[in-house]
Amino acid sequence: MSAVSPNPGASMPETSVAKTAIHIDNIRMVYQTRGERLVALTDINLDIAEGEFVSLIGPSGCGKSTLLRLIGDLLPPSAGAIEVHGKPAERARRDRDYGMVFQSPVLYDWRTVEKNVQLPLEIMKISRGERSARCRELLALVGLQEFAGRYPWQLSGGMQQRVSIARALSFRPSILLMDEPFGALDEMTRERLNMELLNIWSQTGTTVVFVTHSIPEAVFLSDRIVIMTPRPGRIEHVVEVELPRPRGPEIREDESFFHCIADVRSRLYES
Amino acid sequence: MAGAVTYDEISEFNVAPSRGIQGTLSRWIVNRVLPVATIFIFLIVVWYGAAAYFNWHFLNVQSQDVNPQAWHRLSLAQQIQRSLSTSTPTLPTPVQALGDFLGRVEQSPTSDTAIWSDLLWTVRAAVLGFLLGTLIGVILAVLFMSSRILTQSLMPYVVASQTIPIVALVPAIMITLGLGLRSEVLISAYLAFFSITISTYKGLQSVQPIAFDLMRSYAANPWHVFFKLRLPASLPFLFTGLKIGVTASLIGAIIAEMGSGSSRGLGQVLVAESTYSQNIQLWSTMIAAASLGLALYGAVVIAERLFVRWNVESES
Repeated sequence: MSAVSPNPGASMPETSVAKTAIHIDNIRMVYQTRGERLVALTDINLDIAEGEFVSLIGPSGCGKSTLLRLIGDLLPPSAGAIEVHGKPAERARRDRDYGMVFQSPVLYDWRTVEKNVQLPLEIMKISRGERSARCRELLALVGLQEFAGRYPWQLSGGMQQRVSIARALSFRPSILLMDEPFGALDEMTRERLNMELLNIWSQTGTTVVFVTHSIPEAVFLSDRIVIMTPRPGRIEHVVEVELPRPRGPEIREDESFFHCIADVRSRLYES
Repeated sequence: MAGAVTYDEISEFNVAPSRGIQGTLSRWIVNRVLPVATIFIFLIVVWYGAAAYFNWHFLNVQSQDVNPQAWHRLSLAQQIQRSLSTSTPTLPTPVQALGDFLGRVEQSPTSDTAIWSDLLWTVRAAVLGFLLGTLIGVILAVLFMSSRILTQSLMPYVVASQTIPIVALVPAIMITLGLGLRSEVLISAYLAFFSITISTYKGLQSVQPIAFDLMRSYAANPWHVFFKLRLPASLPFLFTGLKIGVTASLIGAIIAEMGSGSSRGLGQVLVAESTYSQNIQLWSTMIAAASLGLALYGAVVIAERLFVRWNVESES
């Protein structure tokens, strides 16, 4: 177990102003497989403010994806509690507080782009007129208006992932949970989508929890970066990203950007 | 095949300059017509070869009893020519079988030798059997999907049912249910349902786990998960099963007719023709059965194009 016991919640900048969106209290996650016990996460404490952009970063097996799934109530924790807007995570999921984006776009092959974006709205019994209005608005937001009638296989990987982001935002969730959404894309597409994501985030004011392997991506996007270490998975450091907003592509050339990357990298490797 | 083609590549393809009508036509002939024609001609040649060989042997043996001198006076070419034109062939030529088939098709439906009433009888049994088989097949697949215990306890019987030789089963069912359409439909459904069950079951299981996570994040109910995710995902698989099932249902109907002793249906016609060694008619009835099978299969393919448009488009 770690000697360092970080308390990320206390180091949050605007604790007094911003309300807490996600409160993670002493989470522990143990996988039990054929008599083998694998401690995936232990001593996880983290507060995420409303409207904040937080990245989870760390080597494979550090449990960052597991933590994201716990927040989204796709898995129940072995111990501890997660509260979202003061409610248990399960309640928050039932209230449709989460929009999820995974590494693969998970589009339904038999639905056109438009129908994919509308899928959650159909399930939530939103009227046809409202559905197509929101769909148009969201496809415009991700720049895919002209592709509304296409099937997923007719789109490139980057376009498919934009559809999946539009789908996640279609029902206006207060929290966006993203599990390495750009991990399978090439560097150029990834940087372009990073920029688009920041624009969307600033327009919608959604709280974002973002899992990534990429240090530059985490630094470019986040307010705070949560650095995790494996065996057992736990939070090692929480780094504030002091770069000004709004951030444009030019910030990638800035010295402060490189400083921040170096800082995150050294903390990742020291742990 | 084209699953990885991106939109960009497609639009590039679209703006590529066309090579004119002549280029398109010659490409169409080389790519489509030539292979189809080659295979067709090859099959016809093989058929003629076989007909000449078998009929020559038969005539050769027969001539020993009748008039050996007359037969041996003929040149080989003449013997072969005779083999291909005999009115009582062991194996009729394509022209003989097809000519007989077209002749029967042209006859008025009320005529005794017309094939229409038997064809319609068989179609009715096969289509009803196919529909019943589809219903049973899909219901079983959904049951298997919804319960592991049910799969483990029912699957052995489903598999065992298909290992029983159908020729043994036909009399058993006929004795129980009596002769007639009801038994025919049941036997046809019996042959059809299995491939539909197995492929639909596989299709319902084909959904990747992460797609269920997505549904969970929408707080979707089981009804939504089934109708908006599992069922559409299973459709391409279902249609694979239907294509196998529809041909099986036709075979089932014909076999049922063969064993039923009834007076109607292609199966009964085949029995009568083989009993009386009417080989030309036998082959022409087989052409009728094959044409019927192709038509039923084609109907399923058309339905697939209507219901599984996304998949058909991505494959073409």
